[in-house]
Amino acid sequence: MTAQTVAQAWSLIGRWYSIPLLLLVWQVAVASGLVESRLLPSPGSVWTALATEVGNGTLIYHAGVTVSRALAGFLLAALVGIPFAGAMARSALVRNLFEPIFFIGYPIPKIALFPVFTYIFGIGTPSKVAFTFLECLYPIVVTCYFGFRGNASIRSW
Amino acid sequence: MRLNSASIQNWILPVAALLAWEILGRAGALPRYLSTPSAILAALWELALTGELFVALAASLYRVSVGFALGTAAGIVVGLGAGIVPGVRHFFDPLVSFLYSIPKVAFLPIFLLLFGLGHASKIAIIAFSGFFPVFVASRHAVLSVDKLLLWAARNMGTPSRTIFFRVVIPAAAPQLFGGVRIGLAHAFVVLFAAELIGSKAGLGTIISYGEEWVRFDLMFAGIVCFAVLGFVSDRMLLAIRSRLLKGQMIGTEEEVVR
Repeated sequence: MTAQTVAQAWSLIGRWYSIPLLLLVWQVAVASGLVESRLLPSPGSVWTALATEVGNGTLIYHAGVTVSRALAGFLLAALVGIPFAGAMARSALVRNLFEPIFFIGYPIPKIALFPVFTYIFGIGTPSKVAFTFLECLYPIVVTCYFGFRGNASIRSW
Repeated sequence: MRLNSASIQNWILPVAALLAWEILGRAGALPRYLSTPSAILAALWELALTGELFVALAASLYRVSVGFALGTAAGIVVGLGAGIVPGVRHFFDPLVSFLYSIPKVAFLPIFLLLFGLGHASKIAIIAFSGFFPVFVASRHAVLSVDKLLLWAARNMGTPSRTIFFRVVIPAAAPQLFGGVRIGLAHAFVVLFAAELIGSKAGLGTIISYGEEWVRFDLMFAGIVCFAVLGFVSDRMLLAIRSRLLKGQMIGTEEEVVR
C-alpha cells in the first residue's frame, strides 16, 4: 500500500518536475544577477504583483473585458459561420460565390487588417470583437463546410 | 481554367467588391482611411521605385524565414525526441501544456526588452511561437504511429535506425506537416505584431508609417504585401508537402483546399 503510494508520488514527480525546475532556474538566474531583474523580474515578484492586482480587482476587471470580447467575437463567428457553411455545402450558387473568398483568404494572415479595423470600429471594444469575429470565421466556415459536405448531400436526398 | 458558369461565379464577388470600392472611393462616399485600390497600386509602385518596398520585404522575409526555420527545426527534433524517449516527454509535456495555450504575442514585451528592436527579437519570438505547434504535432505523430508497423519491423529484425527513418518518420509526416502549417500561420501573426509594436524596418513599419503620416495608401500597400507574403508561403509549404507526401493525402481535406 505505502509502496504503491510512494511509487505514485515518484511518478507524479517524474511527470511534473519540469515546471518547478524552470521556476527554480528562473529565480536563481535573477537572484544571482545573471539576468537583470529590471528586464526579467523574479517569479517571486511576479507572484506578489499578481496577488495585489487580483486582490484589488484590477486584473479581474481587465480579464473580464478580455474574455467577454473573445467570447463575443467567437459566438458571433459561430452564429454566422455555421449556417453559412451549411448554405455553402447545400447550394452550388452560394458555394461558387464564396469559395474563393474563404479558401484563398484562409491562409492570408488576417492580423494585417487590424489597423484598418481600428479605423473603422475605433480603438474600443467593437474593433476587437470585429477582429476576433473575422479571425474565428475562417476556420469555422472552412471546417464546418467540409463537415457538412461529408455528410449532407447523400443523407438529405 | 475553363470558362464555365462556376468559374465566372467564383470571380463575381471579389471583382464586384474591388469595383465598388474603387467607384465609391473616387466618388468620395468612403471614409478617407479606405483609400482606393488604384491608389494602393500606385503606392506599391512608388515604394517599389524608391526601393523601400524591397528593403522592407527583405527585412520581414529574413525574420520570418530564420525564425520559422529555427522554431520548426527545434519543434521537430524535440517533438520526435519526446515521442520516442519517455524521459524527454516527461520533461517537456508539463511545460508545453502550460505554455501552449498562451498566445505567444503576449511574450512580445519580454522579447523586445531582452533582444532589442532589431532582427533578434523578431526571430526569437517567431521561433518561440513556432516551436509549440510543431512540437505537439511531432510528439503526437510519433506516439500515434501504428504499433503493428513497429512490431512488424522489429520482428523482422530491422535495426532501430532504419525503423526511425523508414517507419516512424514516413508514418508521422502527414501529422507533422499539419503542425508546421499552423506554426507558419503563427509566425506571420507574431511577425506582424512585433513589427508594428517595436521595429525600425519591415513591412509592419511601412504600415505604421502610413498610419502616422496619414498616408493610408501606404498603409494598405504594406497590408497587401503582408497578405501576399503569408498566402504565397502557405502555398509553398503545401506544394512541398504534396511533393514529399505523394499518395498519403488522398481523400483528406487539404487535398481539396488548394
